[in-house]
Amino acid sequence: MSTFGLLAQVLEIIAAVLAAPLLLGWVNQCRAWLQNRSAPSLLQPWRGIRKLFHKDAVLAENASALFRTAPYVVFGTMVLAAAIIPSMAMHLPLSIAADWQSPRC
Amino acid sequence: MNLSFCIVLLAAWGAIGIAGLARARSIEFVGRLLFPLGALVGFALALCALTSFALPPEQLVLPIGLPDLPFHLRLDALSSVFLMLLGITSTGVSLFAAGYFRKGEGTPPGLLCLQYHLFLAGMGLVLLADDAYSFMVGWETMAISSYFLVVSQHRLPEIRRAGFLYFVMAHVGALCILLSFGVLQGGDWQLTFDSMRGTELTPFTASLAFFLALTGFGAKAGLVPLHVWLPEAHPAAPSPVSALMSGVMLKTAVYGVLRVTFDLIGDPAWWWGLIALALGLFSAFYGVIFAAVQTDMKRLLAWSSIENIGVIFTGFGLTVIFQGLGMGALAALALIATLYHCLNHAVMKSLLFLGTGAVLHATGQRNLGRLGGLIHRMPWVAWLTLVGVLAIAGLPPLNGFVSEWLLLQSFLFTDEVPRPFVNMLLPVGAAVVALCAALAGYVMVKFFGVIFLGQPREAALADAHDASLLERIGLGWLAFACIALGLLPVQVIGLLDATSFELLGATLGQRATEWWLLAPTPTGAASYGPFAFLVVAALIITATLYAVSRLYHRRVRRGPAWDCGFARLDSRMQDTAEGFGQPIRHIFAGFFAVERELPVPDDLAPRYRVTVSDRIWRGAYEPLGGLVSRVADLFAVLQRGRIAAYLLFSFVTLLVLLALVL
Repeated sequence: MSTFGLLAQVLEIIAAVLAAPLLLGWVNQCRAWLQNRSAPSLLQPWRGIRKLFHKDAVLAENASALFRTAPYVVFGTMVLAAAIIPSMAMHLPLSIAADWQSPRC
Repeated sequence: MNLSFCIVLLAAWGAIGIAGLARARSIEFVGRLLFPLGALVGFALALCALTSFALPPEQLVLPIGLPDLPFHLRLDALSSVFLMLLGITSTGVSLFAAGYFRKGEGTPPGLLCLQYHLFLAGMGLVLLADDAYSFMVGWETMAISSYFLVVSQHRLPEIRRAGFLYFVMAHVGALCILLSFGVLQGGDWQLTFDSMRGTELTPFTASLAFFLALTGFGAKAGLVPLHVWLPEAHPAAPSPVSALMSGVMLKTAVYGVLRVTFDLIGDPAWWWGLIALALGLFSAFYGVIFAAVQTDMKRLLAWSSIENIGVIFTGFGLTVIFQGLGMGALAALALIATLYHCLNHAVMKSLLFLGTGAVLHATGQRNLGRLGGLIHRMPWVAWLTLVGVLAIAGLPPLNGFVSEWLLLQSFLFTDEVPRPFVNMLLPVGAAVVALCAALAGYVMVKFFGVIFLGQPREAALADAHDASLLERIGLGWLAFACIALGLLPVQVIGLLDATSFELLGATLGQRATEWWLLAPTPTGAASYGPFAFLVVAALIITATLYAVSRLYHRRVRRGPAWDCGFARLDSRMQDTAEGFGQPIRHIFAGFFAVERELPVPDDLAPRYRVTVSDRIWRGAYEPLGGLVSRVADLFAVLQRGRIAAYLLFSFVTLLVLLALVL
């Protein structure tokens, strides 16, 4: 596991997390354009996230601890999937965890 | 050495069982002393089996049994896998049972203890037997003791009925197995497995022996269409017994099939595998769609067992195909997937059955429509069951994923099969396995969600209590086994390789050098590192938690659930077990026999009722049962109840026989 590989891995994770809301923003833009509306900014989902972080969380009275943990687990596994799939660089250190291409082949 | 130790452990189980009779009505003596001792014996058995993988096969002749028919016993790598499975599972189940059996359960606890430990010892004997005689003794001990365990609440007529069905199916199966051994022994009536290994079989007799064994063991394993006893017997039995039956007893049938096919017959024909594969795929599919529409939690798990047995037989079928066509490395891959799935299913299904047992004790309900919201009342049971649910749904990094992944990997290489027709059909099999895995996830969401999440559907559920300490330890042990089998696939496969080498002469080998990285396929392109998954996911989640805690003001309010302005939200508005299964019932309508009772519009107390039943039961078993009883009625003419008539029959028989002989 080279330093370069590790760097590429970390960069890819950061890029995936930062760019994911932009993809949603772009889809929303396209949808708006197709419907002849003026589109929201590409950064609108990021603004939405910022707004949500300023709101209170409200839990139902009978919500269990599972309800609190599930979003983190889902987010973590999504980021893990993004980290394994080679999108910015090949031969990432983590890609070995799932169907790595052997150096011999 | 290890073999003698195993025999001592099985004898210890027998002794514990008999000791239960000493103070048969004392829950303290039986529950707090004997069952934990039994768990200890199980643990020792698991350790003993674990160390005997690497050793050469051991044989021993015990001078018990009939004159000239001593017990031949043998411990080899195949027995070791299943003994390990028996040991690990029974440790957890016995610990749970120690806290589970209480007063008023029908059979007195001491007698239950005897039946339970004889059941365990019988299964152990089946796994160690090296001749048909001791095998059948073990097999019948297992069948009869489990029959008594199933009917432990024999005052209820439906439980007696379930027990009877189980008993009949077990004996039809046993007959087929006996006939199969009869074909295999090759004429000299040496019933030892050693002589069977040496027998030269013609293709016809080999096929006959294989299909008799497949039928016999299939009836025990619950292979469709011989599965009908399973959804009846599992809910009827007390939960620890259901756990053992589903977790271990079904696997002894898999053991039997593997033993007969690869050890006693030796060189299987590839087309047998095709039939086993087709039966396995159909069982997997049939089991999972029926599991999706069940409303009784134990019946749901029983159908899910049929699904998993189907997956195991699919792997077995692939192994036979590959081995029959001389593709050793791929056969090893499929065999290891099969054995791994046996181990996995044993621990996870036992865990789930014990979880339902704890729920049943706490609430007295098996009906999913009367449960709900139990995660608040029974957090231990809920979280430990969640481990089993995630494992059986096949999610990494738990164990269910590993074996299903291995099975799908072995399907990926079916394009190397040199039969074009088979080659064309096998990808359909892979698709069916994938479908079943996805539907199994759906079933488990239903199982966990309806029991533990949401609002309680009955007021009485507010009094539910969590499992006792011993029960928690039992559940915890099995959950731990699920996690360990999921995280250490390389080590487990290292053990199973010995079995594969013994049966097939080929091993999977390990293409990667790291201890945490599984790379099982011949080309080396496929890999799986569960630790990497776990560690990186944990790191990311920790980082996310940290980021959220820094960015967020952490104000959390508790309020009533949002009801969309409808002011009276109650538990009846939640998704129910019927509602959750409805799409499956609709999509696969052709497979179910559905009866509906719909309310008329002006009904003041409307009732809506759906009964889903098994077409195979209606179409095959009911006519067959009717036929048997009609034939029996014909013979009943002979039964007059007068001793003179019976004496006459004996006399006539004697005369006829004499006439024949002279």
